[in-house]
Order: sequence, then C-alpha cells, then structure tokens
Amino acid sequence: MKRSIFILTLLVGLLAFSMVAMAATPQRVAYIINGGLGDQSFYDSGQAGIEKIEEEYGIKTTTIECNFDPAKYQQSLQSAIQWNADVIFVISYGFEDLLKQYADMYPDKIFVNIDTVVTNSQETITSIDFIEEEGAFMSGIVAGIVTKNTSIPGVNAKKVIGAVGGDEDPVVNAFIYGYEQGAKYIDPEIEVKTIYAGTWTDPVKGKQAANQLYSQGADIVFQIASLTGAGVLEAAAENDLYAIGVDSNQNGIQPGHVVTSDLKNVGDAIYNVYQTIVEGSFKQGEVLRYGLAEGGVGLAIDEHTRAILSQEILDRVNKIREEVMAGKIEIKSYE
Amino acid sequence: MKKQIITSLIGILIAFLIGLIILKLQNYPALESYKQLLNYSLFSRFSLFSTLNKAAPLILTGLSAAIAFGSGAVNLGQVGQFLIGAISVTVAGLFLNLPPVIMLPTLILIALLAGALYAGIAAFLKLKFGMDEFITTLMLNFIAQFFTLYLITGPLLDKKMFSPMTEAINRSAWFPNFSGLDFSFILALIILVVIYFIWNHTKMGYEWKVMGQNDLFARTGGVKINSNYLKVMLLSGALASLAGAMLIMGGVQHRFLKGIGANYGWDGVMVAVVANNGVIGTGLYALFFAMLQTGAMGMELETSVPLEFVLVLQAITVLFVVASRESAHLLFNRLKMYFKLRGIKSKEEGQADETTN
Amino acid sequence: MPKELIEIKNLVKIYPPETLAVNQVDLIIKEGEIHALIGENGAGKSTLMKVLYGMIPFNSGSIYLDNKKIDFKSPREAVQAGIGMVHQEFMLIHKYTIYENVILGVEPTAKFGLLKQKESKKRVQKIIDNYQLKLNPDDRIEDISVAARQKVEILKLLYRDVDILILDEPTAVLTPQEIEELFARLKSLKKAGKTIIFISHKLNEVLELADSVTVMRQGKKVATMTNEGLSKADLARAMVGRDVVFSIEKEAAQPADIICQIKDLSFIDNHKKKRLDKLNFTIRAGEIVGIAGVEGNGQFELVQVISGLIDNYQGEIIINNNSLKKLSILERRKLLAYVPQDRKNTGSAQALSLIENTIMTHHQINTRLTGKFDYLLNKKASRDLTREIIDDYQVLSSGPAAKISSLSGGNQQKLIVGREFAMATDFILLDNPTRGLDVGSIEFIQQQIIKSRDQGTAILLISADLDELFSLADRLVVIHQGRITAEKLPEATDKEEIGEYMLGARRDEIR
Repeated sequence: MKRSIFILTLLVGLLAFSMVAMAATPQRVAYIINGGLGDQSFYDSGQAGIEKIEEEYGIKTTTIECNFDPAKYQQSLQSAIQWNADVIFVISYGFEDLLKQYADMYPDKIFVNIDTVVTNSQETITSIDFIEEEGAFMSGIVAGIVTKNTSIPGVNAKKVIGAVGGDEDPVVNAFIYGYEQGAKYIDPEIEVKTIYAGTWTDPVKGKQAANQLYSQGADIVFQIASLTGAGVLEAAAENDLYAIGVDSNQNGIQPGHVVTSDLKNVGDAIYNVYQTIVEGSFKQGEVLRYGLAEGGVGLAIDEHTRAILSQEILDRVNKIREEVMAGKIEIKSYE
Repeated sequence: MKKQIITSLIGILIAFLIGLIILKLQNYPALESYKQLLNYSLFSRFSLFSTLNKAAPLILTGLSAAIAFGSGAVNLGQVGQFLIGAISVTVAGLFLNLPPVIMLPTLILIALLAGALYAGIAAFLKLKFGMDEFITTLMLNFIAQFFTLYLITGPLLDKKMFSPMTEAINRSAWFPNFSGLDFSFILALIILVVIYFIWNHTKMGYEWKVMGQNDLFARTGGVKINSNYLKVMLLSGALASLAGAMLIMGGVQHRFLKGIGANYGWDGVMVAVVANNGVIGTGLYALFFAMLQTGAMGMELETSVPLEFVLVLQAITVLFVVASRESAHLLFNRLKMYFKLRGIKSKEEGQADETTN
Repeated sequence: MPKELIEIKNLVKIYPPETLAVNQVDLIIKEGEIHALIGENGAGKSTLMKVLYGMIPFNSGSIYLDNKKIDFKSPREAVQAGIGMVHQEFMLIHKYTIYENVILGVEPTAKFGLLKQKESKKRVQKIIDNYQLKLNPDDRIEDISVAARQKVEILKLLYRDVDILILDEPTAVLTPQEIEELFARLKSLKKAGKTIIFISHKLNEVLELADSVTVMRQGKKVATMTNEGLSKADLARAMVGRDVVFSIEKEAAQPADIICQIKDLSFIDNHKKKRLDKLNFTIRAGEIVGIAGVEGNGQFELVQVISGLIDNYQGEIIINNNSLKKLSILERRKLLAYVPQDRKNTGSAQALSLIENTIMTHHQINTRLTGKFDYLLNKKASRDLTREIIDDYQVLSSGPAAKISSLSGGNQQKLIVGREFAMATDFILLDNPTRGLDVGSIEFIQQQIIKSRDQGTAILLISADLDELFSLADRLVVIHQGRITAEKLPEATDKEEIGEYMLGARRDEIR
C-alpha cells in the first residue's frame, strides 16, 4: 500500500514537473522558408539552428519549404497554424502581406520574421534584421585587398571587383552597398561591377554572370544569390580566380578559390531567439538587429582562407573589423 | 454518365491504393498520411475554404482547356493567358480607382478581353498562315512569362519590397471575402454554370462538340469551322485569363508576385484531360486536385511524407483515370465475350446430351 | 476424289464485347478447287478467312491443314505454310516498282547483304509468264491500274510459293472486262494445282467461277454446295434467309424541270493535275442520274466540288437557278442534301449520340429547330426529329440518346439517309449510299431513293456498283479520267458496254 502511494506521488510529481516544463518551453517550432533547403547557405544556416533547438530542447520542429512557389505561401502559414506551432520562424520574402494577416489573426502565436523587418498592425511580429552592410563591408575589404595585390596568383592590375545578386531587392542592394563601401575604403578607385541573375535557383545563370564579370577584369566576385551563387563559385574555380561566399561558410565548396564567406548566422540568431523565449526575456514585436558586434554577420576565416591570404593581410582585415565594431569606421546603411 | 463516374472513382481508388503501397514501402504511416491529407484540406472550415479558394482558378484553367480540347482546338497557352490576365488587372487595379461596384466588373471584363486577345493571336496565326496553335500557344507562354517578369522587375516593381512584385492594387479592386471563402470561388461556379449552358444548350456549343469529335462531319454539315474555332480560342483564352485575374483580385496579397500561378496553367490542362473535357467533370477534378495540393503540406507536417508525394498521387490518378476509362471498357468487353462464349459452349453440350440420350 | 486440304472444325470467333462473328463453323476446302465463300456483309466470311490466315485469333474450335492441327500466330506463319491472302485494300508501296514490292520482306541476299537481283528478277518474270499476268516488273505501282495492282498482290503470293490463295472480294473494284481477265487468271492458277478461296457477295460471279460454294449467314454456315445446277435464287435465299427481289420495282421516270445544271465544270488539284475536265450534264426533277466510272476517275472530286468541300473550281454548278460558286457550305445545304460515301468520317461523328448526329445541318436550316431564340438548341424538337427518323427509316437502336457507334452499319446509314432526305431539298447528292451494307438495308435505302425521286426530287447517284446504277438510275453518265465518255439510258445499253466506256476504251463525242 505504502509502496503504491509512493509510486502515485512520484507519478503525480513527474506529471506536474513535466507540465511546468511544458508551460515554459514552446513545444512546436515551425521554420517556414520562401525558398528551399540545400543552398549550403542562407536557408541551410537557419535549418542548422532549428536542428540545434530540436536537439537541445527535445521539442518538435518542422520545416516548410515553399520553393519559391507563391501558391504555397498561404498554405505554409496556414498549415503551420493548423499543426499547432507555438513559434513560427519565417523567411517571408514574397509573402509579407500574408504574414502580417496571419500574425494579426493569431496574436498568441510567436511569429519571428528573419532577414527583413515586417510589421503588422498589432505589432506582434518579431523581426531578426541582419545588418548586411556590415558583413558586406568586410567582404568589400577583402575583395579590395585581393584585387590590389597582384602577388596573389591570377590577380590582374585592373582594380575591378564583381558581385552577382539573385534579384534586385533592398536586401541584395544593402549587401552591394556595404560591399562597395568596403572596397572604396581600401581604394576609392576600385570599380564594382554588379549583375543581377534574376533567379535564386539557377546555378547555370550564376556561372554565366560570373564568367562575364571575370572577362571584364574582375579578379574576385561576391555572390549574393543563394543556389544561383553555387555557379559563381564554380566559375571562380574554372577561371582560376576568386569568389566570396555568402550566408554560410562556403570556403570549402571550391577550395582555393573561395577566399572567405560573408556569414549571416541565421542559425545562431534563431537559436538565440528561441533561448530568450524559453528564458522569458523575449519581447514580441521587437526588431532584433544582428550586426558585426552581435555576431550576426561576419567573415568566415579558415584554413581555406589562409591558403590564399597571408597572415599580414588577415591581420589588417581583423584590425578594420575591430575598428568597425568599436564604431571608429562608420558604415552607411542602405535606404 | 454513370459509367464515367464509376470508372473515375475506380481510377482514383486505384491511384490511392498504389500511393498506399508506395508509402508503406518507404515506411511511412500510410493511412495516417491520407487522414492528415484530408484533415488539412477538408475537415475544418479553414481547410475547406482554402481548398475551395485554390480550386477557383483551377476550375477556370481547366474549363479553358476542356472547351478548347473538346472543340478540337489545341490551346496549350493557359500559362500565358493566365499571366496576361493577372498582369492586365494588376495594371488596371493600380491605375484605375472606381467604386467597387464598377471597378470589379470592369476589371473582370478587362481580364476576359486581354486573355481573349492573347489567345486570339494564336488563332489568327492559324487561320491566316496555317500555323499550328499547338506550337504558337506554347511560344506565347514564354513571351507572356518574360513580358510579365520584365514589368514586375522594371516599371511596376515595388522598390520597397524584398522580392520582385508590384504594389498592391487599389482596394476597390479586391474581391470580397466571406470569412475565409473568396469571391473567386463563387465566380468560378457561376462561370462553370455558364459554360455548361453554352456547351449543352446552345447551337454554338453543339457545333463545337461536333467539331471536337469530327470536324469533317461538322464541315460537311455546314458548320463554319473557322469562325467557330476563333470563338473557341477567344473563350478559352478569356477563361484562363480570368483565372489569372482571380489570383490578383482575390486572396490576400493583391499583387503580382514573381512566379505567380506557376502551376495553374498546366494543372488546368491535366484536369481537362482526366475529366475527358466534360464541364462538370472538370469542376469536380479541379476540386479534387485542389484538395490534394491543399492537404499536401499538412500531410508533410504530420507524417513527414514529402509534399511532393501528392504530385505522384496526381500523376497516378491521371494515368489511372484515363487508363481505366479505356481499360474498364476493354475489361467489360472481355468479360462479356467470355460469358457469351460460355453460353455457346453450354448450349452445345446440352444439345450433345440430347442427341446421345 | 480430291483430298481434303483444309478442315475447320467448330470455329468460334467473338469480337469483344459480344459480336459473334463466326458461330461454330465447320468448313472443308478440297485441294485444287475454287471454293467460293458467300454471304452478306457481316456474315462472317472475311473474319473466318482472317482467322485462317493468322491475322486474328479465334476463341474456340480447331483448324487442320493436311490433317495437321494449325494455329497461326501471324500471316507470316500462314504464308510459310502455303496459305496467302489478298485483301480488299492492297498493301503495296506506291513509289516502288512491281519487282521491288514483290521481293519486299523476302529479299534474296548474297554475301555481305547484297541483293541477288538478277536471279530473283528472273524468277518474278517467270511467274508472270507462266500465269500470263501481263505485268512489267519495272513499272511503278502508282502508274498502273487497280486491276494490275491486284495482280501484283497475287504475284507476291506466288513468289512466296503459296499453294492456297484467299481472295477477299476481288471484283469489287474492277470493271466487267477486268473481272473477266481476273477469272481467266484464276482458272489458270487452278489448272496449275493451286487452291483458291474466293470471298464474294456477287452471285453471278460465284456461279461462273466456283467449284463449290459455302454460304454464310449471321456468323453461321448455312450450307456447302457443289456448283452444279445451282441458281442465283438458290444462293440468294440461302444468303438472306428469304426470297430476294433482284430488281427494284420502279415506274418510269417522269422528268420535269431542270433542277441541277453542271456547266463546263473543271477542277485542277494542288498538284496541277486536272481531276475534272469540262463536265456538262443536267438533272431534272423526278429523275436519277447515275455516275459510272472506275474509282479515282473524278467521282471524289465531283462530290467535293458540289458539296462545297472544294471551292476553287471552274465552270458552273447551278441548283434551282442559284450558282453554287460563292455559297458557303451552309448556304449550299439549303439547296442540296448529301449522303457521303464515308459514313464514319464524313457522315457522322461516331462518339456522339443519334440526336447529335441527326440534327446536324437541321439545327441551322430546319424550321423545326430554328426560331425565336435561335442561338439555343431546342432539345425537345431535336429529340422529336430524331425519333421520327428512327421510326420512318426503321433504324434499329436503343433510343435517340444511344451512341451512333452502337448501331450496325446499315442502321447508321439509314439514319444518315433519313437525316438528309428530311432536309426536303429539291436536289440530293448520293455518293455510294449502300456500300458495305446488308441486303435488307440496301433494299430499304434503294426504295427510299426511288420514293424520293417519285416525289419529284432530282438525284445524282454516284456508285461503284454497276448493278445498283442499272437498277436505280434513269440516265447514266460515264466518266473516265475526269471526262464524260458517254451518256446512256440504262435500257439502251449493258454492263459490258458501260465497262468499255469506264476504261476509256470507247468515247462518245458529247455535245
């Protein structure tokens, strides 16, 4: 008898404990992306964060890929709601209107929009905004140094660098704006040539664009084009020249040709935000800005980088980085 | 008619059974997946309405294809006509601002006209130069795709947005929404009834139907093939175009987004093919495919069956409905033949018995 | 007593779903005879032979050749066993020469795949000489006559050492002179020891040629008879199951006003070939004018020019004082009714219902179907009109909503004829209106044609069947290579004479 009472209390206690834990920790997290996974970059970086949440908190997560099909946008939000997601991380390019509508309809759900700032009428959407200009500025620094340093194999005397964007939109433009500032910081005479591929999913187009830039004298091309960008990196290897990756560490994709990558730590940001939700310090409707200082953006410096750039150069890059973080160098933001 | 419904149901059933086997082989919870597919597409007001909303443009592109194929015109330009309809109401919706009572009919009319004209190009090329509309409508699809892409990334681009799209059209051009059910669906039903009436109760519809079955017979009987062909193409284009207009005027976003309506054109062709160009059948299959597509994402969420699975399901359904139309017929005939043969043999034996007795 | 070469026992063939084409047939073919297989269209004679030739499988029964059980899976196997068949449609490549057609598929090859031309050519020539086929192996098929093409088909089989020849209605496309020639060749083949099976529904020919006759009716064998003391009436009775009237009863025509006038009508086709060359004739109210000619001599074009499917002709076609030149097909159809030759492709839409097939043209012209809301289809009137035609023309069907493809050929044609006659026009164009039908339907349709004539309609009848022309037409116009070679009254001529005009061997100066 005593024994059974003991077991009963234990069970009740366990139950109570788990209920407390449940109340504190959102149990279902959805990650909705306008594009598709497998870009070894932006979306995958976010996915890494989602996986980390699932692993460490033992909760259910799901990822909904829209694969750039507008017919799926509304479906994705609606399905996530019906699936009873507590927290919805969303990369909402193309369906900002829908996101606002759904956030208004479901004010008790936590919507976290990634990469842009989206504000609904009830101001319940939290936005993670990366300061693209800062990361891109650092890319511009590296590109500027590379194009001026003819001792690096393949680099010509022309002070030309390139960039390939997916589409012409404010985020891409912010990247290019920062990139230009970085390059001009090294040498105001450096010319930046830009091509918009018009697609985020076609490496062939990316390759064509990069080849064009290389033929115009660019030694190094910065890709801001998701899957399309894979073609840019390939073109760098084929031309025996250089490229800069974006969003994730892409240095190893074409070793010896991807000098560095302009990281956008989407995964870390997602993880951090989730942590604040669990801890209770999360504020709905906030705009969280992730710049160089917050570790949201930055360059990926690894053995692939060191194989191309000397320690001297890296020291110089690092010094500039510290100056930016300390506010000694001012980076203008786009718009 | 009854036989058609039965063979269609058998086709769908077989498709689902095959889907079940595929799911089982991949170790997915098969029945649970189907349950979730229905859950997320039918069994709540919200799910049901989004299925209906999705069905609306599909009904129209389906009718567009059914009318054309049923009359012997090979209009494969639904994709292009759809985009032309969408872009024309976008432009009109951005630059016109009238009271909704006038605005909505005006924009619908503009969409119908634009699509008719666009399909009319292919019809003109056929009638004037004998160019096959099979090719020209496909080519016109590309032109429409690039033309609209140019507009939304150039002159009509909303620079404030983070991906290529136009600004939202004026509010007066928005379709009313009845707690989640879009006016698009009601409009699609009205159009369905109108087309049904034309097809079955007018001389024009009769002539189209005969043309679709045997245009030599129609011609010999005095049917004006060319002018009827033109009418069919214009109507077919207008319908696909209105589907495109729905995507802008209905829904939530009211903008022309890059990649909008990518599947509606070809899905419409598919719907017409499975429905054997029947008007009612087109409506029902449009609903069915809309249901599959709407439930797909939920199914993936719940049972992690990739949502692409419904594409497989759709393809199998098309194959089996079309095939079962033929093979059910063959099977039926074969059975009849078998019984006939048995009848002859048993009679023969009976006779043989009689003679021996 | 000649030995029994082929024995067919209790053969059953069902075409799905349940058309019993051959119903428990027993048949014996003796070596070295000419065996005629007769019966109406659809009696099962062609099917039976196609089964024997390995073209189509059968459902039950057995076939023996030389007392050995056979079951050919393909015609190739049949030919290897010594059985060959000449179909109604020839299977020849028009651009090839006779020689090339003959050796196609059995090319004699030497080393390295080279053609042993000399030897094989010699063999072909030898067969031609042996059987007096009168062919030049180097002529191209497109340049020779239909009768010659038929001989090429026979030559093909002889080259493959076939002992048993099956001929499916070989005289259907020939003139009387060509028929005679064919029969002479067949007799010499028989003399050389070949066995011949001859499918026909022309009783005169059977009586002239065959040693024994097997009659089939509705899939069953009625009897096999030796051709001794047989009469046409005997055969006809066996074929149809009742007494048959051979000549249709009709009063003398009473031609009245001219309804249709053809004046200097010429037509040159896309290949610059003159298909019609200054045709001149008239058709009066209450008479039937028959056009006789070997197929392909302008009949097809004449029909198309009148019906409006071709509109770039020279000369004039005048009906009821209206020139057809600038009229659309629909406007023409107010002046003329038209029964096309090709019932399936021109005369109907097989996938549609009887109603949808009946109201064609009526829906725009017939006052019963036109009216106040002219764009609407009057469903009730459509159904009523269809019912009436079904009743008046004895169309056997399950009702107006049935698909026309569910009807037998004869019933389909009765519906089509009914539809056209119901237009009540003064002029009717009939293009082989009874081709391929059963005797009952032929009789019925021919009676309707006479009835219509007696009501004062002007009728132009084009037919490949000389018997039909002689029994229906009040006047005969013969054409050869697009030109009129004679205009005769049927009572003042005979088939042989018309045949000579058809071949172009004789030509009258017409006006």
